[in-house]
Amino acid sequence: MQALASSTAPSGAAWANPPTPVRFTPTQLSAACALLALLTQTQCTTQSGAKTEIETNAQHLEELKKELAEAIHAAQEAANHSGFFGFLSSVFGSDIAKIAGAVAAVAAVVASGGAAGPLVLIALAEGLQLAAKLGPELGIDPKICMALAIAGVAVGLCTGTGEAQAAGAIEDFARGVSVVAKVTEGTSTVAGGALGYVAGHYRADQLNHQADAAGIEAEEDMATLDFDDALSLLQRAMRTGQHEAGTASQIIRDNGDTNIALSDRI
Amino acid sequence: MTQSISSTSAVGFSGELAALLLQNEDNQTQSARLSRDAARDSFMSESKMQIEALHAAADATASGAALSAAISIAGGACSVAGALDEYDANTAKAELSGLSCQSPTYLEDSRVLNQAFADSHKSAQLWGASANAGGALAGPAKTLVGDCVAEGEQATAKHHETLAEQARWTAGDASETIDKAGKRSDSELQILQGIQNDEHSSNNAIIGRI
Repeated sequence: MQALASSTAPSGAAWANPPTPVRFTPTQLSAACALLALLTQTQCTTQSGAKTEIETNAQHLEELKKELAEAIHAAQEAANHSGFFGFLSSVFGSDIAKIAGAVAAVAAVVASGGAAGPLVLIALAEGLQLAAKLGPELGIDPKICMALAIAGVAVGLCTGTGEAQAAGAIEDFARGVSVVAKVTEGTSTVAGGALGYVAGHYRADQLNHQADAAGIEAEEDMATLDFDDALSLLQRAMRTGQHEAGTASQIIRDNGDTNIALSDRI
Repeated sequence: MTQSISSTSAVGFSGELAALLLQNEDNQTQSARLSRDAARDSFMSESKMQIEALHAAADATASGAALSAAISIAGGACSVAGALDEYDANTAKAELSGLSCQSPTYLEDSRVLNQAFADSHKSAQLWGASANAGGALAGPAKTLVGDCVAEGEQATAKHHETLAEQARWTAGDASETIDKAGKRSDSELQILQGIQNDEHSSNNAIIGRI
């Protein structure tokens, strides 16, 4: 018992060095002391286990933090890609397709206008030039105004040559412009759809990475709870160990006091 | 402590009381531990469902984008096909108007060109209608298949997130209860130790007086 108690005593334990010099026999280190020694040993084991768990959880938390940072970074990249391809999709599927559609509509009017084609072109050129001039005052995008001005000049050139050409040639030209514009419109719509799919794909990627990040955060919360529990366990084990050491010390002191009192009386 | 497990009545009483108090604290600790474990299970379960809902939202977004893209691409292709047919129709019409009545093949040529114009025009109209339908349906299809479902799943995920947060707080409270019970146990043991110390001192005093 004594050997056990000595071997399992924590370093610097108070009961290993009692305050009063008393000779202990195996019977004086009672079963209670041996029990306390065993309890102390158990607390030491618990402390060791808690420390290991704390270290494991700390490492796990570090790994989770890295994973979380990677997931957030991936989500951010996917969001950037989604925004970029979404913008391209909007440009191709909406802006370019609409402009091409408008050009095709005008060309179709000219193509079906017959002899009135040159007049239509003159009116269109004037209208485009006027729109290009008034555009900035009306708050229209300068790029659109520039495009209108260029279109006006182009139509004006067609008008100039149109006067010199036969109406049939203008119609042919307008038909060509119309079909090219419509093909451009369709192609832009196709490109817009494809780019929209890419944007949606990246958007889904972003949401998936955000979901992964949420999962990692949940794991991190759980690891933090485990870490806190292990820390609490370690604290409790240390408190209990100290308490047990104090109790053992007190028992020995009390026994010593009793022995002294008895020996004084004998 | 040696005296507390002896058969003296006073020490036995305090020991009994301490044992009851410690038993009480142990019961509370066990109860809090069960509550904490249940809350943790609930937290993990709700978090898992939240993540599943978020992934479902992502899948719905991808599905909506794919459907919208497919409709848009089909619409664009129809538009191109319609433009080419319209060009053929217009060409046939122009050639028809340019036919000479004095030509010996006028009737045959005009029949062929009229037929070509009619076919191409009809085809162009069909392609154009398809293109318009595609253009009109792409957005609503994306909303219906993608955005609506995704928003529903996001709402579900939010609901589970709230429940998970609630479970996390419950687990935290239970851990706190366990800590408090442990500290109370320590206090009770210290009080018991003090009582036993006093009793032992009085015993020694009695021995000294005998």
